[in-house]
Amino acid sequence: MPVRIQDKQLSQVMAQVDRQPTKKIDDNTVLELLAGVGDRNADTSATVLQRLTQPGATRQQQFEEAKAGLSSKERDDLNAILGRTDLQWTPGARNLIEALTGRAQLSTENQTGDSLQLPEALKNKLTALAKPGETLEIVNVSDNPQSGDAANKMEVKVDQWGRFSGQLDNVKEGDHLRVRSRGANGNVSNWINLQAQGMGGEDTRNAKIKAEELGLEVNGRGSVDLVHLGNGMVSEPNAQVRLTNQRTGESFDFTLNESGQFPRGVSVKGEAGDAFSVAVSDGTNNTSFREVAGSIKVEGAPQPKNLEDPMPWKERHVNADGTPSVKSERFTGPLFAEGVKVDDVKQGQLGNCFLCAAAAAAAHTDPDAIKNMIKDNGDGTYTVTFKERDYRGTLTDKKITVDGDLYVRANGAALYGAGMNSSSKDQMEMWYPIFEKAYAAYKGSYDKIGSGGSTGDALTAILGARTTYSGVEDYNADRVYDSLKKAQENGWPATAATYGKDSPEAERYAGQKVYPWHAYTVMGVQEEDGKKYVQLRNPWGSTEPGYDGKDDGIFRLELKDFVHYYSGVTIAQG
Amino acid sequence: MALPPEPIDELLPQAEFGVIAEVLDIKERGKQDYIPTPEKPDMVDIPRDLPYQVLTLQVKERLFGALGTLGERFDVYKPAGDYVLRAGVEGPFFLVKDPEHKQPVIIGRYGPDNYTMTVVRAAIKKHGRS
Repeated sequence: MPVRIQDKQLSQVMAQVDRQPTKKIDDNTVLELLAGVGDRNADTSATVLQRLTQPGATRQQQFEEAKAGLSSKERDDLNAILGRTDLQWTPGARNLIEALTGRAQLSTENQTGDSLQLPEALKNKLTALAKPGETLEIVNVSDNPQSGDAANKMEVKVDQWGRFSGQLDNVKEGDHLRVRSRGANGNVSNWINLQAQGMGGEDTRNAKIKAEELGLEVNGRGSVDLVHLGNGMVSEPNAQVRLTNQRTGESFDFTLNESGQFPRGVSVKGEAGDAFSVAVSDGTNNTSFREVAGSIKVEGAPQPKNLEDPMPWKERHVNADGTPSVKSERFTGPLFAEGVKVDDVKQGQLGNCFLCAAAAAAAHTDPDAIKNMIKDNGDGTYTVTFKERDYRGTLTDKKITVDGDLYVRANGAALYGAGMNSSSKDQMEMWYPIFEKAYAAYKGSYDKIGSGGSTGDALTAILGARTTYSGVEDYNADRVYDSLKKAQENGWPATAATYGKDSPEAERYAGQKVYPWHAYTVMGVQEEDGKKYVQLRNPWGSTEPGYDGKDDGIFRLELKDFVHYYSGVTIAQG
Repeated sequence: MALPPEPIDELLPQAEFGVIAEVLDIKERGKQDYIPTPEKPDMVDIPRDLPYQVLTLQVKERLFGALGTLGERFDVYKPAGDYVLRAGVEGPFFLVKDPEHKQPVIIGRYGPDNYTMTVVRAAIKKHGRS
């Protein structure tokens, strides 16, 4: 309630205050009051105000200036002003008047609002919060979202006049601070959110997020629920958070509430075994969410996926009604066991020696290419990336995803292509049968790849390389040998094909353990005692001419015999 | 079709007789069926059947079953399929009697070229054939 002020100058200042809806006495208004008190003799209030507002004037100087002109009448006026309950004071302004009336010592420390500039509404909230005798807890949640860290937390005592001071280090422009009061009885107020302004520089500090306190749980509805494993803030108030499913690439955006926590009932599309990246933005920094703060894995083993299998080879393994006459079973062996090797490839009961020979050739010369083209998705599926070359020669990737189901023989072993340890469903090396299944899916079915084909096409699909075919004849034997030698020196994969499309051609193979109308992997060439040899591998992984102590399908032929049995070679250059 | 031979553990139980023998003569052969023309020169394994043959074998060793004594000669039927034989070829033959043919029929995708002798002898022992 306004009271009667005797001093004319003070009365005019208070009349201005009373005309404001907020009735606020801030750091500027209080200097006008001090000027009204400090005027004396020749010094008018205007000249005193000039000295009070000089740049560099300290609070102590301002206090002394006013005190020099303070009369008893003015002291009464100031006491009357202090007694009003309808005024809003800044702590610094009130302290000056209290010091002049002898109610308090002059505080020369910075008061709220001096270094940390706050909007008026927030200053009022903070003033209201700072009750005498209570403790204020101030936390910089941009430095650390949780208050347990002493480095980002400060506690200050509010004195009997509602004043407090202290210094919180490492506060940067745009930082979010939280303040609450704690009474002597331990009761605490609600948190008030503040944002640092006027600290100098730009807001370059992004929000931090406690990703390790977040969890994802399968909810049985085809999605996963977000759970907060802690009980504090996850990040800054109103921070934006993006969760991205690493398996599907799908992203989900959320805005945290005023308490820096996720809204209730958040769920995202995902399943057991999925991993989600977590990115946060304070609205100014990292707005593209490119910087990832952490990741969350959905608990539980991934559910094995079941994809449609390519149809089997029509000629031998399909019923009259079009259904498979062979069953398929899930194989779970390692994708790669002891690296990628030529002898990992074993042709099964499918007419695709061209594919087996090409894959073994690539495994022999470029095992990393095989490793890079086949990815285990961790859910019982695998993605194989083939290279597709268009008529202009441009290569594009063709990704095919298949599961670990393979057609089986009556004894449970893989019917078509197999890998090492082929007698065991959980130990067979999977890369070749998966590669073959994906190639079947790519071309439409096992039938599409089970009736012969081109090793050149297969090598292009694996490596993206251009291939050359050379017919082998007596007259160009040395030239073919030289091209195989060059391939060997450059690490280019090569295959060789036998004759045998008809009976006269095929007779030469009888009893030789070299087979007609068949593709082989060229392992290399050697020259010994003036004789040239070509080393080959039967993609069956067994059965070879002669006996070298191992029935692994690997053998070598003198060049003259190679020329007799083989009709041509295919080399993938580069 | 250059598929791998059938696993011996699947083939051996079907066989009635097993001999090691030499092809002495090709007495008869069928006509070559249609021969597909490959679209590309490096294409192989395109389905085609090589013609049937009627062969005369001379037994070098009887492996199992009541057929063939040392030096005995008899005719066998090689069905149309993935291989052809010529005189002079020697190896293990698995045979069955088939009412459609006068002669015993050779089984196995590549006949005597299906397996090495080591594999054959080990399988005979494993399956208790004699």
